[in-house]
Amino acid sequence: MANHSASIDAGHVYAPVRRRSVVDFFIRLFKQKHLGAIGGIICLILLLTGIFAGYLAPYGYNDINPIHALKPPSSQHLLGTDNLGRDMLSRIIYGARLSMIVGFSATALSIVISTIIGITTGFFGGKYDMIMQRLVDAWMCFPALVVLIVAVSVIGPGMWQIISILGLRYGITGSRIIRGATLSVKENMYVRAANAIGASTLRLLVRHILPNIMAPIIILFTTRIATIILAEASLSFLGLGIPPPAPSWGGMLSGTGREYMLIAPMMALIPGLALTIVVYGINVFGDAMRDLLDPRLRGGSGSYSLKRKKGDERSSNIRSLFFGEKGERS
Amino acid sequence: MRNYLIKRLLALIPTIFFATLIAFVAIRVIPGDIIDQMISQQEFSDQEVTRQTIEKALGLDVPIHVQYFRWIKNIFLHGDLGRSLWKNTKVTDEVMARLPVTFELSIVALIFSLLLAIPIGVYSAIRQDTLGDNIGRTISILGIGVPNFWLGTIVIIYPSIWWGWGPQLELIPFWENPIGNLKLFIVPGIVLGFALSGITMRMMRAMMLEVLRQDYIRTAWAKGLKEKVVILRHAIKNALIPVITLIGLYIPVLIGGTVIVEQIFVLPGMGLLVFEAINDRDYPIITGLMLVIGVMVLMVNLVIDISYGFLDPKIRYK
Amino acid sequence: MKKGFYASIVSVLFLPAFIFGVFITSTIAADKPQYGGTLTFFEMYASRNPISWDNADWCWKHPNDTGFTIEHLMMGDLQKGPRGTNEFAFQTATYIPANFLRGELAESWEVKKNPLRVVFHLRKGVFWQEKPGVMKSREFVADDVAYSMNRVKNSSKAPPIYMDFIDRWEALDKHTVVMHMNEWAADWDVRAAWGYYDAVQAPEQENAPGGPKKWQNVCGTGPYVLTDYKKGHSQRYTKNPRYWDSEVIDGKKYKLPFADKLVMMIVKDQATRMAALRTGKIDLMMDVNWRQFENLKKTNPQLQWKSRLHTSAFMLALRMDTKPFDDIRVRRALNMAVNRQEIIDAYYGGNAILYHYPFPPTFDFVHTPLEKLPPTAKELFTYNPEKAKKLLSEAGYPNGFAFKAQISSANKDQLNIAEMVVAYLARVGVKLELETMNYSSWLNRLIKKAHPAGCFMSAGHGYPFGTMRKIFVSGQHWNASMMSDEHVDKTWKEAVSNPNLTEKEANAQMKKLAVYCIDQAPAVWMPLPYVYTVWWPWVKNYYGEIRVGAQRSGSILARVWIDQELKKKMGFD
Repeated sequence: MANHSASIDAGHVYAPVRRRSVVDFFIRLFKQKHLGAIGGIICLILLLTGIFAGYLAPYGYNDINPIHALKPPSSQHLLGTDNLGRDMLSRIIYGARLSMIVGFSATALSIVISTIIGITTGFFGGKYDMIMQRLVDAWMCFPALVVLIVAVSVIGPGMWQIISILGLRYGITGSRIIRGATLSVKENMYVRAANAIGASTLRLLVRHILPNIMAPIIILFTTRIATIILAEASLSFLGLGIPPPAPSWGGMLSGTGREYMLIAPMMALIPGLALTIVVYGINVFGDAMRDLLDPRLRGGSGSYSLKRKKGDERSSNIRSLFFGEKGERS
Repeated sequence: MRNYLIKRLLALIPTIFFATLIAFVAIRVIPGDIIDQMISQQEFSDQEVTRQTIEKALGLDVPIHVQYFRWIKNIFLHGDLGRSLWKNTKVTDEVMARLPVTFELSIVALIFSLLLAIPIGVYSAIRQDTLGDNIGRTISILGIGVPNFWLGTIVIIYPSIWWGWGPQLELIPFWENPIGNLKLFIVPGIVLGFALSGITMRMMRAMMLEVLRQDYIRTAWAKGLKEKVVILRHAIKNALIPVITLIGLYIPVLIGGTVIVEQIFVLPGMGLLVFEAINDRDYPIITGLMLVIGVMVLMVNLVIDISYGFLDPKIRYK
Repeated sequence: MKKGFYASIVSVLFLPAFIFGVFITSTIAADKPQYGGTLTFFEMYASRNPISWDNADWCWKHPNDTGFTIEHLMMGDLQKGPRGTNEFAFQTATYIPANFLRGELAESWEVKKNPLRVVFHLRKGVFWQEKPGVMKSREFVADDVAYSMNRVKNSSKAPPIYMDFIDRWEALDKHTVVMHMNEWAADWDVRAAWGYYDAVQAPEQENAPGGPKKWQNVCGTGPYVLTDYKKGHSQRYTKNPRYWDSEVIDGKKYKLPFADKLVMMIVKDQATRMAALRTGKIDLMMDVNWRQFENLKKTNPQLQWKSRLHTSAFMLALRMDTKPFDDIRVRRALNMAVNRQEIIDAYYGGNAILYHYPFPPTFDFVHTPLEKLPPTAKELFTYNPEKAKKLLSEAGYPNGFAFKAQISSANKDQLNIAEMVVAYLARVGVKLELETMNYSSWLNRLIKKAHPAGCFMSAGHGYPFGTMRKIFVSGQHWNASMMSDEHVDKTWKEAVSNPNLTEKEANAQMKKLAVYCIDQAPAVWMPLPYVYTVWWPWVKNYYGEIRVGAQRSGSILARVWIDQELKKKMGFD
């Protein structure tokens, strides 16, 4: 990443300015990747809603009031009430917190597991690597849902149990990617140099390899969160999710939401929408991150995208693909 | 190439061994014995007598490692996966009965997802960061983000009210009536395929983007080739190769992970069999089924790896 | 010209007469039972697969799974129901008083003493079904009954006590079979003649390849022959051409069954079941809850229906052997903390009743109405959070306490009720934590008696002796409250095994015992909702009955005929 940038304006020469790479990243995010910026904002909203749920929600998440069940949106209940008279808005807000906790914790756990397995097998290689690889292969050949069902049946449902199971399952499968990244970094000059100097293995792993595989780790993180949130929703559908009255979006969607689809569609629509928006936001944000972080895909001088330059008359549409207009690089 | 093949086959053996271990041990750790369920079918208690007689009758009275070796021996010597504890039917029969449904559902879902994903993925890549790209990516993310049980539910509930379209309850075999048979699988196939297409779309887009930055593409431009030729003849072929490995990733999902779609659309496939067997604690079926699924996935992955070796020249000459 | 004139007069007179005649005959003909067609339906347990085809496996669901094809010695007398004298609705799962029973495979029976036995006179002219690979159709004889019954009794899976009162079955001649008894059992008929485990199976089944556990070998004397079974999908039946029973409709006798084929669907997902019913793919559905029903009335007003009380009760059982529920005041307090009336009004829309356990109002002979209960028992069904808090602090819990309860995650409705209970209890300071698990695990812990202080459970209303024993007698599986009361055990045992008690006297004993058990407040009982049986108008000669035996619908559906023209006219095919 550039530590400083120089810009040349007609007639002026600016002195190189040192900018922190993180700030630079965000600037590029908002300038180039509009979709990713939207995604980032969505993620931020999720984070804040989760943290400040207690202050934001007008009611508790299990304040039942059966007399006022299934009421449409009103001034008292902005999103209406569910089948037990609970305020939907509060349930959604607390649900954000739950999704956030489950999503982040399980993903973090899975990343830790993936990283440990990936780095050690990638770095050390040899018999250990071979055996671990076979174990990971064996693990990966079972469908995620089957493994999750069996595991939940063993341990029983509950928030922390679900987190551990999801983290473990996706942690092992994700180790492949980290291993691949480790392998490519291992051969680099500076690693060999550090090794030659006599740096200890731990130091090598932590100070040299780990920082250089942060990009795939971050990308893995963002892709995993969405998968894990959806996996939790699927478990709830099968009756193996976090037990009620927990306001899990997946649980709301697959349980009472489906039952009351025809009578009060809002009950299913709202958590479903929330889920879709959040997954969407995380994914586009992750996309943008990967686009910006992955050196191979980075734009810059010499990029060969087919986007037409502004002001070019030739229309950029699918027609040109079939009617053979001349391609031109920008 | 031959060395590669041999190496892969050898690597399969310990993998299968681990897979059998995982399959065997996993289900036995679950609390809730089959015996207790059988006992509950009675009205009266006094468990000890009943429990012992049943245990003996079902062969569950030996320790777990003895059970494991017995099971392995049966598989390799007799090809016998054991018998269901409830019904005394052969596990192989139960699995075979469910295989055609899963097989057909997978194929329909796969075809639909590829038909949807590849064109959109390619278009997204060649028109990166334009409106078309954003729309394409939105579709793909909707595919990933909308839970398939939700989509399935909407598909079941609303058409029944608006158009009187109900789920098909007749299981017509393919050879009897191909149209009737396909009608059964089209809708669940689309629901299932839509989720898979999301991932494929993104992968296709990412691969195309990477390929488009390669030197040989630059050469093609320099030669003055038209956009259509560059894309169709040079770029897609190379971008497609890693996408094929994605199919390998789908196989576990398609073979056993379709519980939800099967449940909603009344398709007796392997996913539902797993779920039911777990609820019944029918050990032999679960273990046998997990093994069959695991081995099938490993085989398909092997085939894909080998074809990847044929398609990608870089690997071929390793 | 004259000829033409007369011709036109005749035709003018004849035509309307002709049209009128056709109209009359077609409407009459439309109500005349027709043979043929396929009946596709959801039974009460439409989300579950058959568990076992062999009654020697001692599975309660056997009569439900095989009832269309295997028969028992006795059955409910449907003529005493809504299609006849309407004295009994036949809408309870296992409860049929003796005067509403008739013979199925047995024509008549007598209880004889010295030695204690029951002599059954079997029906003549009954034939076993023709089943390729198993047996050829032959006459049904007493030896078959003796063989089948002795086999069940001596099965390795037979639990103690249940059939212990029977010494053995013996065939006296071709059409007389005797059940020799060791001791008297007041509920002998449920346990041996129309209950869960006493189906009469063909001896030939055991010699068929694979034995009686394979569905292909299932063979009985019933109205339909099992031709196909796909696990997780459906059971298919075709008509038994030699079936013995007939039905009298409008003074004419018709041989049964009417429909050519039966298809019993197995669908796990509720939304899918409703969609199938709504679109006419399902002709009849036995278990529709009130909310779906309200919706159906709007989307498909042509549907016919009949309501009944749900056949199982839902309750929160409290472990009387641990703190804090060893103190009756705490148990009473919890009962008064739950606002059942609000649940009935708001959650069930008024379609539920408050008090129904252990005997609902339909069990006339043993049910004690709410007003007649002793005051301490009556009070349990009121909503009084202040008194609840008072009782709690008297018992030593002024600030409430926390406890866990296990619940099976299979039934969404029950989960909703449980959530409401959590909220109600929180208002009096009691913190309830739900432990959800799937049915197997739930059951396992219950049987091992390893369940936590609270246990949400669903218990069928059964029949008086069975229910009292299952739930209140010490050491029984379903006694989740761990009730261990000598008075209860002794009273029950005496009532069951005293041969000198008439049925009326024995019932009176159960009635008194029930009041005693309610007063002990071993559980918090939830309201009992109404559910509906719904069917399309082309399903004729059906009056909403659901059971003629223990969990068995059997030949009820054999009496149903499909008006195929009406079905076509309504646009379904």
